[in-house]
Amino acid sequence: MNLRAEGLQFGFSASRPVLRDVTLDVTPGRVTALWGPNGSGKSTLLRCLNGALRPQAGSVLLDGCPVERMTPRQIALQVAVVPQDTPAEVPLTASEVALLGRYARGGPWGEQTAEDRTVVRDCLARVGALDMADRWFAELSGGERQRVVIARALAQQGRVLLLDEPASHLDIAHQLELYQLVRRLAGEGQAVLMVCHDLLLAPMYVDMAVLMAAGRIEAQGTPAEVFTSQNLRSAFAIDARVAWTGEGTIRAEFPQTGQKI
Amino acid sequence: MPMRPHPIQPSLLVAALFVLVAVTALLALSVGDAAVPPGEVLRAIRQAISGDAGNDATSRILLAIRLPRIVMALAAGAAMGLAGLASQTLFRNPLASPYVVGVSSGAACGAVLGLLLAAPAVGFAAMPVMSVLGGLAATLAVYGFARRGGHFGHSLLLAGIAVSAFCSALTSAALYLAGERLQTLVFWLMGGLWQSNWRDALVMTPVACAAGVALLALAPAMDVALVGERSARDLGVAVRRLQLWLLVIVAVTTSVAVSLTGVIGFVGLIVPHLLRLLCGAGHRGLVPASALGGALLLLAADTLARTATAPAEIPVGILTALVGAPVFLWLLLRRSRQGATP
Repeated sequence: MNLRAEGLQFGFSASRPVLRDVTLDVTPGRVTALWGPNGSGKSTLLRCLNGALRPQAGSVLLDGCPVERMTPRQIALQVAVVPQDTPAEVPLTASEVALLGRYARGGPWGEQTAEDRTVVRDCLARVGALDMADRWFAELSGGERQRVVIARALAQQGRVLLLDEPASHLDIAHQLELYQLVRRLAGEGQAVLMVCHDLLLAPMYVDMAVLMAAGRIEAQGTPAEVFTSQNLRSAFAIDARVAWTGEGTIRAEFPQTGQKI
Repeated sequence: MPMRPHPIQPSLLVAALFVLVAVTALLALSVGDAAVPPGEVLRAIRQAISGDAGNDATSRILLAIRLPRIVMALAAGAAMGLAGLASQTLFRNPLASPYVVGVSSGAACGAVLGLLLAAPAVGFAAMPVMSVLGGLAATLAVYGFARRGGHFGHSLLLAGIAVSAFCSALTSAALYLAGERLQTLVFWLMGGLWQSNWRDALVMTPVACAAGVALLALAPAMDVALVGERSARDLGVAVRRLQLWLLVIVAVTTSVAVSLTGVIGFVGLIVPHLLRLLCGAGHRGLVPASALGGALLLLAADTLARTATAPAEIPVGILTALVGAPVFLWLLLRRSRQGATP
């Protein structure tokens, strides 16, 4: 299941384009990650990729089929999304929220099957959220809610997983667990794309790094190819010394003054 | 594992409500000016079913006077419960209702105008049809304004207040010009079931049933809609189409009910809200429970309204508002004390 964006142009208004000629492949078996400054178009790209936003030019192809010709249900069967924010005031329990991931696979009257319940349990277990299954979603912490929403996306059993800053509410231990989880999913043949900000942990778990700035893809390749002092300077306007150690571990030093160049 | 937060299984709640509705209906048949003991009621029903409808006074009271009114109360109550549930999901606000968001006033306005302007030409159908048009127009206006005006929940209530006020002004203007029909209209506006007959009941019942079936079919999508438009779309719901369906269901059920019974508030607001506290927000349980709960509440209120001060009758709309408004305030307090927890 290959997800491909070709020459995407998108803008909420004609005068301010958000995406300019973006071409990107989200490949099965790989973890692809997007970095870039705030407002560089990462989340917008993600929302174009699952057909929630319609680009003004270019196309998004899911195994060669344009997503704009697919219904939301057809897309949801293949592509699962973990959004940046989920409203907290939802009158459901954590397991009921995760069960919503089964909607696209459900029958017309929405009867729960034994399979639905098993899948939801497994998915909650995979993100370490099984013990909060019967608590109100609204009463969970931000990080706990994030894990439940990831479980919901897993319960969709799609073959493409798009995550928008999935680590943003997670503590360090759960960030590590998340990255290991996406690695395992890629190992199972899923195509994973996530939006990241973190330059210290995430690069170690990523096959393909994509750096965006001002709606364009500035660089893509392995993390070692993409995270160079020069690329970081041109994308983020920061002065960083980046070094890669032998085991694929990134070390970055940022000058304390942090002056702009 | 922590305790399940829903006190009652949805299926159990639906079954309990069904039994309560049946018992209340039996009681409602037996009480009134002429008390008929329940045994007598059952005998008359058995007779009617077997075909030889007794022509005695008791049978006539039961079958021609009380039964249509009870069927009407059940159907209109179910319609109100369902419309309330649909609007709470549509607006993602557990305190929304057709009454609060202006649909009822739109429907009332349409019905009054229909009665005054169109009825002489069109006849009986004018009121329900104009009422549905008024209700649809009000719903569309509120929905359209709420979508454009920032925080959806807040804009919704404000738009609802404005549209309600506008429709009430139109209704008042129509009443001012109504002449000798003023009294009929005012009594109708207060909301009551004393004019119920089989014809009304046979209009209301299919509408309520259709709304129930449609909402059952939409139940899985309505569950998903609870997490917001964006996520619902990501999870596979055609959000615009769902909203359109809910809008039509709210407007049509509310308007038909208003045209036949006048404005009876708070049933649609309180019933789904209370039931959600009992059995959770899953719509597969909440749809039948809201229909039965609405039917139960309206039938009980109407039975009280026609017996408490007999031979005089309290318009049931006054009764539901007198009880409903404090309950609504209590729910508000409860919500703000518990923060966002449903």
